[in-house]
Parts: sequence; structure tokens; C-alpha cells
Amino acid sequence: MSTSSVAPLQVTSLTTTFVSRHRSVDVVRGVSFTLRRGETMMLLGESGSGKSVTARSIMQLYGASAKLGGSVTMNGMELLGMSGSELRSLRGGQVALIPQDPTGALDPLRRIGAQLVEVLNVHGVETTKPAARRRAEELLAMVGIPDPKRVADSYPHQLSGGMRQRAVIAIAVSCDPQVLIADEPTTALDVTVQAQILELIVELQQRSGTAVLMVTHDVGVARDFGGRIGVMYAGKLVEEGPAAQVLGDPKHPYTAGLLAALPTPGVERGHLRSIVGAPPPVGAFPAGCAFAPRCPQARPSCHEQDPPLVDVAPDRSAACPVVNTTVGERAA
Amino acid sequence: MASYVGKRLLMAIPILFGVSIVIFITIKIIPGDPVASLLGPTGSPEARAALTERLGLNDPWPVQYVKWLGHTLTGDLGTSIARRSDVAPMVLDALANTLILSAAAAVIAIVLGVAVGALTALRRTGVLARLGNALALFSISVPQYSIGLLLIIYLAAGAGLFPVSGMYAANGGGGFVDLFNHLILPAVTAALVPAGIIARMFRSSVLDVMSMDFVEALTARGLSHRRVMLHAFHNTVPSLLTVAGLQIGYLLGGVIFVEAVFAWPGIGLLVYQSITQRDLPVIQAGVLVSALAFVMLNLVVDALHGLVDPRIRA
Repeated sequence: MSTSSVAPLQVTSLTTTFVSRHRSVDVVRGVSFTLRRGETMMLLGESGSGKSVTARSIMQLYGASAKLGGSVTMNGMELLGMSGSELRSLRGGQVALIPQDPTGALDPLRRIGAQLVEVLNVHGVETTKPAARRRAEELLAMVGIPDPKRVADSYPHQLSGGMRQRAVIAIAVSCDPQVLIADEPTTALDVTVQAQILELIVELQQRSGTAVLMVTHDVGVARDFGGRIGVMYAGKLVEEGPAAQVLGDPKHPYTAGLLAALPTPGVERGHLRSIVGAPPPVGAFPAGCAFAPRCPQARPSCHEQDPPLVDVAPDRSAACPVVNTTVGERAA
Repeated sequence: MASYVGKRLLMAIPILFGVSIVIFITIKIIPGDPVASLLGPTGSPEARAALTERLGLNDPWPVQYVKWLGHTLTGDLGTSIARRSDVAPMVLDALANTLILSAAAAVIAIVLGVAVGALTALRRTGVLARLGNALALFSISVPQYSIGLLLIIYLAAGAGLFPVSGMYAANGGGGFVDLFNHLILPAVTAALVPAGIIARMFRSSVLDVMSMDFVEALTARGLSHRRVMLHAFHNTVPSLLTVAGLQIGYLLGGVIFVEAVFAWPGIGLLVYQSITQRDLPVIQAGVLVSALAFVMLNLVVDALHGLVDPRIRA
């Protein structure tokens, strides 16, 4: 399988190591995936699996505190090692972030309109103030805000959580990004609002052909969203493939465990099931397959050799030697 | 915004009312007899009785209070016992001098505090940051009068760089330059403690803001480091206002030591002298005016707060 070099986003063997004066911790340990135009990729995993760090490493938001390895390309252009000014025009321009908590993502002392205008100015989308203001109101209307004029004149604390997240999304899509990174965009919201925000992201994506990389720990969100899924565990992708197939017929024991832990509506059972044990703490990943200590199907060799991600079916790959392997190792 | 300031103004009225009651009661319960200090030890019982009646001291306390409040509100602060002159102009002059000193000290304290606080927050390691931290701690810990005396001994009397005391030179002088020369040492002395406190508080507030999510979110929007820092510093202003407002308030009351050491003719020195002379009307008026200034300052700080932080206005 050859990977196209013009994909909006291609991540190859990405590693992220946090360095402090006393020690360094590997958080992302060789993640590879390709995101095509208009496509959605979900990174699914528990806390500490490295999914958020993967997303932020693409935008290089950690500065000097993290050392990045591997390669991240957008339309064939390498991002790692870019200069500060190149990165600035990229961030918020070609690749935008929707953070988890809309309250924290907005400057509490600036009006929503001013924050939009600032981004439009910085990226040279609208250079005059009245034009930028008009565009800001259009963007707010586009993300489904009923009275964009009033919201533009509002401070973040005057809006509801859902409205704030819509405003954050308006800022994210203001410069027409090719890649939209959404880091658990609905986790901080009411359940009733969650669906609306997810619908909005799908709608924007269909309208502009933006590729979306969505980070979530919520299997339900992953199922609703469709697209492709990458399941992360201990800083690595353990399974990747189309959402419906991965969730319908998991190939990796960890994915299977995650799905088995979901309560089934209408079925009464004595207790909820969970995966035995706890995920390894960041910085203390075991040798061999990191999931082996919790894996019901682990073989002795799993504790020694870390299985690579290999194709297990057309368009699907998993990092587990136990599942019936059909094809050879997947091209990086 | 206007309604917010209006509300604050209305709230200041009961506060001032309460302050006036506390001052009145304090003056009543402190030991010392104004009649005795007016007449001296040789006063006859008849003279004492007449003066007590004339001062209204035979009335019940509530009546005395209402009379005093009425006089105060019409600008009549009484007559000084020791100086035999109107208290009002005396106290207002002294207050103006204190405000000059406090304002100068406030400017120094805020500029120094913000600079040292920002430096120690943004460069947590390194010699300069450590030096800044040590200086901030030192300035909080050392008593003002000892610093004042040291400055007088070495910089004024010793090196002759500054005048030793007072507000204007006795022989001629006057004018802005003369005032400025006299102002530097007492203002620096008064500024040291608040500068240290502002530095420590501002440091932690910068660290707080820099760890907030929106700093990363702004970087992700493609803003330059300089722009992100502008947003961040904007967000430190509310807490800076709180600390600076409190510290300047303390300055108004706390310059009494500095005024005494430098013979600065302010309200602190006036009250201090009046206490030693048992000059009750002056003490009363001095404390009242200081309290008034304190309340007004808080009002200004509250208004600024509302101006900077939209979350407070609502």
C-alpha cells in the first residue's frame, strides 16, 4: 500500500519525549497514520495513552519541553524542524485546534468578536477592521450561533458552554484549515450539546473538505463519527482501520476489551465489565507488548517482543501476533 | 459600567458611616481627659466643669456623636487643642502631603514589584531571578524605619546626595525639583515592603496565567509569542490591581513611620504628634480623613477592576 505524498497530513514514526532536567519520558512511541482530504481519523484510547500528545505534537505546541522524532508532513511538506515564523503561519492557518475545554480555550478578558478578528488579522485573511468584523459575524453564523452580532460583542463568561465551544470552532475554522485537530471537543459539554457539536464538525467538514483528526476516549463518539479509528495504548497505535469494522470486529485484544467494557442498553447484568489491571503509567511501559500484562490471550513471547503494526485484513492493521495475520508487515 | 460604579459609590456610604462610629467610640474609650489637657494641672474645679459643659462632654454619647458628625459633614472639624487653630485646613494640608508621598511610593512599588515579579516568574532559574527573589524577601522582612535611618545616615547625611528631612528646603528652595529631591528617600523607604509583596504576588499570578489553557490555545491559533504574552499579561492585571490596591491602602496608613523618620509633614506625622499632645480633635479628624482616603482608594480600585475584568461588572 503506497501512501500518497500529497495527503493533507501524514504522520510517520512520530515519537514525543518530554525532557526535564532530571529525566526524559517517552509518551508517544512511533505513531504512523495518514489523513486524506475530507477524511476523519479518530484516535481512541484511555488517559495516558498518548492520543492528546500525538495531536499536540503535530502542531508542536510543547516547545522546548518535548523532543519530537519521526516525521510529520502536510501536503508533502515536513513540519518538524520548521522555523518559528513558518510554524506560526501554519498554526491556526493550515492546521487548527479545537481544545477540550472551551472555557479555557478563550481569553476571558476579550470579546469573542475581538478574538476572531485577531486571528483573521494575524493570518492576513482580513486586514481591515470592518471587513474582519463582518467575517467574524459570518463565521459565528456559520457555526450555528443564532445572533452572531450579540455573541461577537459578548465575553466568554456570558455564553453557555455549547455556545463557547461553537465560538472556539468558529475561531478554528476561520482561516479555512486543511486539517482540524479536535481534542475531545465534547468532553466538557452537556450530553445534549455533545451531539450538536459533533454534527457541526461533520457539517463543516463536508462543506470544506477539511480533514479531521479527533481525539476521544469515548467509544460512543467514535462510533457516531465514523471515518477511521486508530486505537492507542501506551503511546502506540495498536489497531487501525475503518471505524465500523474496528468497532464491529476488533482484531486487537485491547480494542476487544474496551468494547466489552461498554454497558449494553436493555441488557441487565450483575455488574459492569472492565479490563483487568490498569494501564501502565507513562514512563514505565513494560518491555514487549505494553498490553501483555493485562491481555487474556498473551503468549510468553508477548512479554519479550513488541509486536509491530501489521496488516490483518484489507485496509486494517493491528499490533498483535495472536490474531490471524494475513498479510505481511504494513508499509510504514 | 456606570451602574457598577454607582453601586460601589452607594456601598461606600454605609462603610463611611461605620468608620465614623468606630472612630468616635475609639476616641471615647482611649484613656486621657481632654479637659485636663486643655486646662493643664492648675485648672480649678469650676473651670473644669464649665469647659466640660462647653465642649458638650456632658451630653450622652449618641448626642455627642450626632453633633460631631453634623459638624464634620459641614466641614467643621473643630479646633486643635494644642495649636489653637482650625483642624480642617491643617488636616487637609497634611493629607495632601501624605498623598504626594504615597503616590510616589506606589509608583515605585508597582514598577519595581511588577518588574521583579515578571522576571522571577519567566526566568525561574538563573542568577538574576534568584537575586530578585532574595531582594523581594529582604524588602518585606526589613522594618521600614531601619531602612529609612540607614538611607539618611549613608545617602543623605553621609554622601550628601539627598536632603535629610522635610518636604522643602528651609532657605528658599521650593518648587518641583526641591520637592522631588526631598521625596526620593522617603518614597523609596515606604515603597520597599509593598514592592516586595507585589513582586511575590505578581510572580505567582504570572505563573498561574501562564499555566492556563488559553495560552496554549492562543499559540495554536498562530499568534506570535509576543502577542500571546500580551494576552497573558492582560490576564494578570485583575489580581495585580487587587494586590496593588491593598498595598497602597496600607501605604496610606503605614507611612506614619516613614513620615516620623523623615519629618515629612503628612497626616501620619500630624496624628503622631497629636497623640503625644492628646490633641483629640486633630487625632479624630486625621484618622477620619485617612479612613476616607482609604475608602475612596478602594472605590477607585473597584472601578478599575470592573473596567479591566468584564466578569466582575455583571
